[in-house]
Amino acid sequence: MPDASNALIPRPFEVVAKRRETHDVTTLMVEPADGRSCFGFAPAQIGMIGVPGVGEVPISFSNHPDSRRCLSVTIRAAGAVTAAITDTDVGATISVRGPYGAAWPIELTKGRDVLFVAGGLGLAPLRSAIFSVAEHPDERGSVGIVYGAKTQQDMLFRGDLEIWGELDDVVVHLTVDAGDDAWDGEIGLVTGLFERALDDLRNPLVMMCGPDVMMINAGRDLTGRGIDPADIWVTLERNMKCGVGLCGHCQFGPLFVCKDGPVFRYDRVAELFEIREV
Amino acid sequence: MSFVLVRSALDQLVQVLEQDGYDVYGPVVVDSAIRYQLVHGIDELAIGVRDVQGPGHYSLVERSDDAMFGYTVGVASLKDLFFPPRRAVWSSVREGGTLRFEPAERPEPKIAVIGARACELAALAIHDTVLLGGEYKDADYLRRRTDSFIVSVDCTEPGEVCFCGSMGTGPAATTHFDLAMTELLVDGEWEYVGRFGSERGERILERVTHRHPDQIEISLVRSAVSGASDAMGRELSTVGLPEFLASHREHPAWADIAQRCLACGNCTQACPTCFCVSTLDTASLDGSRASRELRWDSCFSLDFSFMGGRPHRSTIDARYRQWLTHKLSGWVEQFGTSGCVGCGRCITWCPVGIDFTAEIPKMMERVDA
Amino acid sequence: MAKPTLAVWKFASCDGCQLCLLDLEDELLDIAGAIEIAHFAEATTAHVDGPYSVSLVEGSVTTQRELERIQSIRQQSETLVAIGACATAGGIQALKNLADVDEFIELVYATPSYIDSLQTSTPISAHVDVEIEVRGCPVNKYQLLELVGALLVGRKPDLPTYPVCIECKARGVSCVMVASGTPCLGPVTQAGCGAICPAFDRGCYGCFGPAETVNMDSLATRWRELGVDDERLLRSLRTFNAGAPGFAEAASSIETSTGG
Repeated sequence: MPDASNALIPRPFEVVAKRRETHDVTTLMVEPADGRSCFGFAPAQIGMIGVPGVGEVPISFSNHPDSRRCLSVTIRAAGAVTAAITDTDVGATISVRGPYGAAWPIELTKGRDVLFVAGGLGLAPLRSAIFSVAEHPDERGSVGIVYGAKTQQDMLFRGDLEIWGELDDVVVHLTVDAGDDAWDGEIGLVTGLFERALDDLRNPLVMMCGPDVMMINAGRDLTGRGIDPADIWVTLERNMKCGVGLCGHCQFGPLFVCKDGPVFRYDRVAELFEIREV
Repeated sequence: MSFVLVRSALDQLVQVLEQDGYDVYGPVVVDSAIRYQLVHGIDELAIGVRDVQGPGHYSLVERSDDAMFGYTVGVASLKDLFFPPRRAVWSSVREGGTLRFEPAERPEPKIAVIGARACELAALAIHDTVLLGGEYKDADYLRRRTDSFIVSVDCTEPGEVCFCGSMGTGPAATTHFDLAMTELLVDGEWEYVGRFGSERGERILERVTHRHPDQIEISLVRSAVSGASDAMGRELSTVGLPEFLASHREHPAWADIAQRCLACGNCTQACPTCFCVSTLDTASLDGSRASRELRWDSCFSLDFSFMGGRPHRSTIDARYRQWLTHKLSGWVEQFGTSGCVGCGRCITWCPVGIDFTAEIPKMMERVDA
Repeated sequence: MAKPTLAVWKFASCDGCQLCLLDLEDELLDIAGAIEIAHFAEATTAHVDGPYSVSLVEGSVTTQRELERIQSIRQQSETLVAIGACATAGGIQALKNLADVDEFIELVYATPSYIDSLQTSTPISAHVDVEIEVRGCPVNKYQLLELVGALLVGRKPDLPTYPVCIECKARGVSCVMVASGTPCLGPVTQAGCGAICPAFDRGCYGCFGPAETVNMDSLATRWRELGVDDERLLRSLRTFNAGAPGFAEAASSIETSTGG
């Protein structure tokens, strides 16, 4: 567990492996470099990941919860900090704090059908949850995975998507914003896949992660199809400097995304979603 | 459980605190305003001055007497002492392939304050809740608060922008002090009729010349404080206010206020409870050493809500709404109290004098109409 | 690994920003150890040909030759940083954008035919891509140091775009407008100076240019209440950063509203 008395002090972690997911997204696998043990996490919990002297950003852990590796983080190089993290060589160290925040309600999936909805990089915070649920067919009902990305080349975890699709009672539905000759699948928003995905599922529990606009539209669409807002869970992204409720940046209405979230039940945030620049 | 000090005994109090290793801060006139400054004796304090405050206006005038605490509140609050604008968090060293983090040490001595106001103590209580009351603590704040010593002085002459009466935070201190006093002029002599807030306060006062108050003095304190309660310059009805603001995030008043709001952030910086900070990393030119510090931030800055390549709150009305709705509504949900203590600083130090105690009733009227 | 190279270039300017860099006496030795100074006319006659890792460009573009030279510098520079009010907004000399330049030339110079000048003074960003702008007239030397340090470690330099007020409060200065009734541009001016003027009981006069949010209509109303007439209001916006969009728009709006 992180040191609650001085939560802002990070620990050094060594990058032990790197995997290029797309042209601008990289997964780093890290192990503690301070002689202390690794910390566990629950799916969707975040870490503050950084490079000393450059900065720190919130990233949810993306590895299989039972992975022999300590932690994985999947990061898009979008700014100076994320570029510095993804540029870190294997063998070099980065800073890690965590785990923080609320996890996906995996316990609620027992015996139920489950729908995962992801947009773009949003598949990363869902990855460990999908493993946790999909790999235990005796404990859950049917599973649908709906994933949309800009292009086929922007899809994360393509190997995982194939593996998941081959599991019993798991159907993967993919779509892209823009197709090319090599893409013979769906083109359009994730909401365009809901009808088909929901055909296989009865009263599913939904877990959703993507850009705000995707979650707003998907939330409206799913509730319009009769899914109880209390059965939909979303994870939010906001600017964060501390990850532990002390810096004030991540507020979303009365909620702190870092400590009250990042996973929220949809009915708690649906109204706020509709308010401009809240 | 009460005491009376004469003015010269306050000097003793300062000395006793210094002997015990405290840095003693008190209200001092600096650049035509009152601020907490390091002091070594009471002759340095803001004696014989009164502040005149109004929306976007502050000035000091001479009093007809030489009261020592005859003003309402200074520019800066206790926040500047316990939660200063820039604070080191850690430093790191890269050496031979290893990376090590060291928590920042705080070399300064313990903090004692003389002259804290009830509203400022209420703000301190709020900071204690926000920064120390959750699962994760602000370690630097904890260090500064640990062993701090607070001597509060009740307000007997509230100012034009004060509304501690509405917020239930003053004019008399009820919490978070070691010693609390009321300044009274009795038969031409200044007396400080006080009460204890902690055992530590009792132990310190044992070393200061004092006596017990008589019934007249006790009743004088009561009437001074109740007179102050009746003389608040502003009021704010808080009944149903958190719910009203939470349910009126879309209201034309926000855009109207944004016409005047400069988004300069002065209200957030002057506010004794605003706690938002950003982090800044720096590194030596060769990158081997780095450090991080916390800096006061403001929800009025664009960078504050930066996400996905752009600020989430681009308009002034969204930023003003965030500040006010958090302060008066979201705060209650988050921490169990309002984030406002009624000190009026956001009204006084707003360069264009925006006064939410005037804006909110107007907003409510527009809804009713 | 070869040291990154730094070049410092001068356009239409007073050299004051270059002097700020030179003024980093103690820190310059460290900087010189971490980078190679390839061109810096204020400091040395030595010159190393490009390409350059970082070019700091001081001054605005006011001649045909400068128009061509900035393109060449851009081509040779990996990162181009505009430093100072001239390079980021056209500087004081951008006042000529509001007037008849030929008339000025006739008045000032004995032999006007020698003068080869464009009709306008424009910031570097009007001609080439600029990665970073460091504001100020002159720049704050510590912001230059921050810039170089940040570029070396690949960090985003801490060049806040919020107003001077944030620095003023952090410095423990009592607002001069509230406490003394002194007109101050701080609420609409970008931070970075450390609130020097208010710290000396002067109003900010905007030398760091417009902040990220400029609500000049509201500030102008306050200034008028403090007894400032529109001529002075206009002049305050048309000084160091007359050409900066935030100030230029505010100034013409005041001009239009007063029929001036």
